[in-house]
Amino acid sequence: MLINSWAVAMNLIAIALLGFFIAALIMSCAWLLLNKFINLFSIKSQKSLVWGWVAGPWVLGLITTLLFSPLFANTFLYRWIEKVAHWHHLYVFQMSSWHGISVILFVFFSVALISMKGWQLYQQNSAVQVLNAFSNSHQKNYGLYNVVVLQSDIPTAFTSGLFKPKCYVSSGLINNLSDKELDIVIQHELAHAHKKDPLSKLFIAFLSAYYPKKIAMDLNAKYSLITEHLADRATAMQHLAEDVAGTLVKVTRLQKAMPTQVQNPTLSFFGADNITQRVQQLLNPTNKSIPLLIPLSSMLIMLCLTVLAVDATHHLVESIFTHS
Amino acid sequence: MFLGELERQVLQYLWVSPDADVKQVHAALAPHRESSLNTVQSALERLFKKGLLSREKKGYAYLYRAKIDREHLIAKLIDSVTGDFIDQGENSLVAAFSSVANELDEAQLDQLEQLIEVQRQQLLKSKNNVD
Repeated sequence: MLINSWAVAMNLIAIALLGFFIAALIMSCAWLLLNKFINLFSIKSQKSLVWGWVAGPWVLGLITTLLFSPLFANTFLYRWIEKVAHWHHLYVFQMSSWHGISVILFVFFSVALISMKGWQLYQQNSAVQVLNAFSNSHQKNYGLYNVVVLQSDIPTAFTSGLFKPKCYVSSGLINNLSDKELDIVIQHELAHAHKKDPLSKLFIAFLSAYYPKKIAMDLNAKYSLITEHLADRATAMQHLAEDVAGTLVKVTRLQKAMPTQVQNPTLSFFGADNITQRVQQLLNPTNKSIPLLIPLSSMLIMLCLTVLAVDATHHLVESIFTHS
Repeated sequence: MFLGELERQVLQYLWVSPDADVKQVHAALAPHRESSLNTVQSALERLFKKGLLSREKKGYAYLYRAKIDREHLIAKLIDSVTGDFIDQGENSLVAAFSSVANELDEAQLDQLEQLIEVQRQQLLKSKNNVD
């Protein structure tokens, strides 16, 4: 059994964890109820909202911990919160209690998650290396831009790399596009590279993994589409939006024209909805920003709910299992 | 999928000369690199286990041939780089310009093109009006 400062530290971690799970639960419900309305707002607002959703449980868990911590014991806020919620054994911590076990499980889960993402990253990097070797890739300058050309008939263009992203375009795509269309594709990929989208996608994939699988997939798909919209929009600064949309449809056609045995079903991440949504967003962009008051007040309400639920869950569980 | 340099050279050789045994592969690679027969054998074994080669026993030796041609392997690699591992619920860490949209049929693509054309015409009209 731990007492005093170590116990306080462990209890604060346990509070953070409980707050984190409760916040994730509340935010999961909120996502299921509200995700359809996100599309009403501008792409930039949508991006902030997705970041808010994935970072939300961490932020709420952390604030809940601060509110329960003895750091603010002499403040008005602490005394006020103590009336409605408190942690009755802040100076005693039992490793074999449900708090100890949940902290250990959380650490295991996080380590497993980091290893899994690391492995995925390693595999993708290996695939890029082998791809470079087999497709006799070479760097080529298009105007001011440097891209890697892959010698392959498969029409494709993508950006890969976390810290120094590189843009790849296949000869199959180059040979089938006009100069203007090729410039649109390259500008779009450079926009991804400039924003370091592969890195931010990794963060989103990592943070969303703590949500139930369906919601995590939704959040990742949403974020992925947002990065496409933003890259499309950056390209539309240099070209007509109609030309960008036209190129998008043309590339989709070229990819569809590949013999089916070369196509792979997992390549179909951008389903019908996504290409259509990107074209519609290019032609009629939504510019309405979300008023800051909405996410801020929602966070405040969720914080109150989290603090109350941490106290309630703690008491409920401990009326069933008592600490030995 | 990771392939070491030797594995890549073996695969490249088998694309040109299918049905070769380990001695033939070793002999063909000898001018380019110093690898023992055993090293070449284990590279063949690894490629076989990765599903990239098939083999057939002829006498005491196996004859190897590539199961997948260059273009298909590149397709597979592009897929693993740009694919979003949707069945595993994982997201790809690359940003592809667009991926094969199997669900979009020709009619839907035609419709999108029409939509773009209509907007183009409107833009042209409003530009002419301003002039």
